[in-house]
Amino acid sequence: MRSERRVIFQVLAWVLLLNLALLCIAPSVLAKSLAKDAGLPSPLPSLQQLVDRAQPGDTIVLTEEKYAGPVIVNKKLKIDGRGTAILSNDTAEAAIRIQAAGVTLRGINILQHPAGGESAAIAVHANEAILEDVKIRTAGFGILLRDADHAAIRDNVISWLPAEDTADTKLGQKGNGIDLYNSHHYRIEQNTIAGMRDGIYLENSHRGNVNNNRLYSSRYGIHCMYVEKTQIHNNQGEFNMTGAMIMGVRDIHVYDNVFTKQSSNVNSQGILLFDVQNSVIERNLVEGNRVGIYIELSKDNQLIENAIIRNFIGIQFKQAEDNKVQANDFVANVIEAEATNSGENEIHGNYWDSAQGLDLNNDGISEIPYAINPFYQQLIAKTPAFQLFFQSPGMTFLSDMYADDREHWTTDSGPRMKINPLSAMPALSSGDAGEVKVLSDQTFILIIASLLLGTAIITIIYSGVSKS
Amino acid sequence: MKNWSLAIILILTLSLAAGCGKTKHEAQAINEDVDVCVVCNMQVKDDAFATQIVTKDGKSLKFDDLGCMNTWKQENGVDNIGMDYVRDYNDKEWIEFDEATYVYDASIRTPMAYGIVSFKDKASAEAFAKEQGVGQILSAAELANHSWQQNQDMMDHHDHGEHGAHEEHGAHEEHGDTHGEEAEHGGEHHGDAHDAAHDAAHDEAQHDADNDKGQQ
Amino acid sequence: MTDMLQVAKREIKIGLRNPWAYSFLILFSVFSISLLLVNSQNAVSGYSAITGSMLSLILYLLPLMTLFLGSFSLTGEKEEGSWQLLSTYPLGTLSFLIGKYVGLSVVLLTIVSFGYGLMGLISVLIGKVFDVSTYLLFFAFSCGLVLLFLAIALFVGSLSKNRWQALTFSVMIWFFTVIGWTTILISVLGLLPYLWIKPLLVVLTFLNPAELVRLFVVIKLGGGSVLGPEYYEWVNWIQQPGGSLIFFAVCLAWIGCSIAGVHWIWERGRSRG
Repeated sequence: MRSERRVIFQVLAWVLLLNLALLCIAPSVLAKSLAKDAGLPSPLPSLQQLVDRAQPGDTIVLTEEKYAGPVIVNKKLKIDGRGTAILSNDTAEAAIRIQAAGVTLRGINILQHPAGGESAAIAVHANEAILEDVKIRTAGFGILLRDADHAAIRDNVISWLPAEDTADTKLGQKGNGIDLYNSHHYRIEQNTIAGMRDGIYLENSHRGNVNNNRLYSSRYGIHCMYVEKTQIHNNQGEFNMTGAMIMGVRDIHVYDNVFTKQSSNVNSQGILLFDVQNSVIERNLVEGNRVGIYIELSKDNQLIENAIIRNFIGIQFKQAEDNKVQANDFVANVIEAEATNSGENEIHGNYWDSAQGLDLNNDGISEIPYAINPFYQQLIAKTPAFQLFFQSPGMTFLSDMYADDREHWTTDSGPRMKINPLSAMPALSSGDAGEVKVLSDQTFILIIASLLLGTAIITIIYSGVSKS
Repeated sequence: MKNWSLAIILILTLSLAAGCGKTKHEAQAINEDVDVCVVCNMQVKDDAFATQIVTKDGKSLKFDDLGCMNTWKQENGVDNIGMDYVRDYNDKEWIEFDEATYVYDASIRTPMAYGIVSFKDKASAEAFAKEQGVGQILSAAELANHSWQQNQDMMDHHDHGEHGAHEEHGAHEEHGDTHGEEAEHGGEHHGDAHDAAHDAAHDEAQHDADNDKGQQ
Repeated sequence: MTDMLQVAKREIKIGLRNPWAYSFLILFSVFSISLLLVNSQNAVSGYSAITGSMLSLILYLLPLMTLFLGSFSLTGEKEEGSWQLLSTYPLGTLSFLIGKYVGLSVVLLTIVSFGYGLMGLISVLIGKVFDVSTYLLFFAFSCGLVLLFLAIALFVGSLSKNRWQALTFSVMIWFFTVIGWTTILISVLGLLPYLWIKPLLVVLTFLNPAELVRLFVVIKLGGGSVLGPEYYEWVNWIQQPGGSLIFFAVCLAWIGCSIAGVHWIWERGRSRG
């Protein structure tokens, strides 16, 4: 709860920042609608004219407060909004469409109003684009890259712009924050994306680097489809349906990411790996998700030193074989692991806090293997309705009795006896963070507990002990 | 005792309610909050690419792409299927798999990149192909010989082809169809459908395979 | 009304002088505290391993305790002849039964409060992070469990002739609702057509207080998504603030129906006796 509150504060802070950044927009929109009402032509200066007048290689500094889109940039330009300029676009075209190589956009605030289709705030159709400090609120997509290589996208903020008359748009109906198709050698860094369909969507885009992004409340934080040789690291995801949806990829490296609190949806996961091959997933922290790591139809991967903490289900294997799963820590998950048809994995030296280990030769490795019981997963695969029995006393009883075909179960051949000190850290830090809060919580409990105990004792003494 | 008799009455009523009118295997609506593809785990969007199998015992299996439904059929066989549905590309109405007309082209973007869309009649399929400028019209029977190749490759020969050279072209081919590997678990080598298509005497299949080759 | 209160008062007195009550009190306190100490490095909040195992422990212990104390109290009345004596007075059966129910719930809730009070104090003393809402939820969960099983205990007590019979029935019911439930339902429902399974399961869950209360707590702890797509609407329904009220209403209906049933049994016995 406490860490949840902290997270909510963080999210709120970001939303606040976002709103502050776009605060000046409200009067402008108002002014514009007033202008419209008065039947006057739009008074906003056109950015397109500035672009048309500029020579390749020029830098355009936006001095006005607001501009009207859409703009097509077809020569190498640098457009600097100095963090204050606002570009508002009401047409279905992208607010800024980049068609020439080497274009730089910096410090612009973009409002992309129209929804539907592939309406995007920025559409890049050329190589070597640089997008920095751009703040986008969009009712469609955020940044779209098509056949655009060597792009650098950093320090941008993208969030959903709700239409005035509609209440909640379902996540699936929204656009993606950053959407790449057939665009390679990208760097996507330090962006903050909230409330979109997929925060970062990569399809057929290879050899990139996605790092230090913060992804909130979207459908999938990072969604990879058919991606190769890409690094995904130090990203943070919270409250998404799934943190990282990694599908159909080869040779990628996912490390040092943190995915927490993906638990609200019935299909939520921290990290999902489907059809992933020859990739390395290491040192990630997945905490408080419905499923920490889900791995299906994937082989020749290495899952190493991940911390899987306080999830409803720690890790799920389904038809995943020939993977190396080592030195991970499984702590305080309601169910540590489930596995079906995944016998042939190299699983060794993980810490399972629910396992009863026995270390006879003092090498820190238990001599009792830890086998993952497939009973529940098999049962619900056949009849999903039985998920109602998740971890009911009777279900644990029944699973324990099931020992069919035990030699083919997914098994940790030698579980580690002690937790990796590194992964014990986050579990503790979540308690330390809200120091003030903890105290008041404890006082509160103290009061309630004393009251309960007091009432109980008084009742006992009054009616039970006293002779009246 | 009272609530046992109550329970029995309730059970009987429910059984009757469940028992009646279930001879037809009707398609269920898509609920984006809970429905994920049975094969690939992706959210099934309430769009024209969604497909559905209703099994003989009434279980509804939803897929985000026609290709995923095909994978399921390869792995689980078709014996237990009550009815299989696809959606019309234009009005998203559920139509029976066998009665739909399909348009395939590698450049058509679908959720899992199988590149096939479905139509309720041949005319609208032809209209779509005409509008796109590409696309091969297939019937359900002809789909049986389709290669089910996912487009995981650059599309230099199509409308996205304006970019410069990329060095990783060759690398993709060795991976081939991802579901080729999966097929080894499932028991059917549909990943080698290219070769199979060559062997087939069927004209459409021959055409299909040639077409795929041309695109690569 | 005064009759009812008299019966309740008498029941509280008898209940709290019963050595059984104290053995359960000690058992419950020891278990809950050791559970707290075992999982000492993790915060108690949300749905995680520690709250999951606490849930199971409570599900094992509290229903059994309630069934024993509740049913013994009723058979005691029969065995000791005090009911025969009471029925000669102008005392309504309903007043008697409700009085019994209220009195017994006070006794049982005292035991539960004692256990939770002790657990809360110790958790503060050892500096353990225990989320207030989780703590209160668990307390409410235990109380609900006790109140629902007490209604069953009255049934058991009414149908048994003596303490031994009540003991046998109690253990049977406890085993059936807590441990055997899953196994029996999976095997029986597995034989039925697929489409019947879910609706039947929902109806049957409403009839088993152990499952009903357990699911409520799992959902309130934020673990509703683990129940999967089939129960998505139910989960949403309970998660909203009004959900607790609805749950409360269901519990009341449950208790009301049970007492009505028990009343019918006793009335029959009275008219025959």
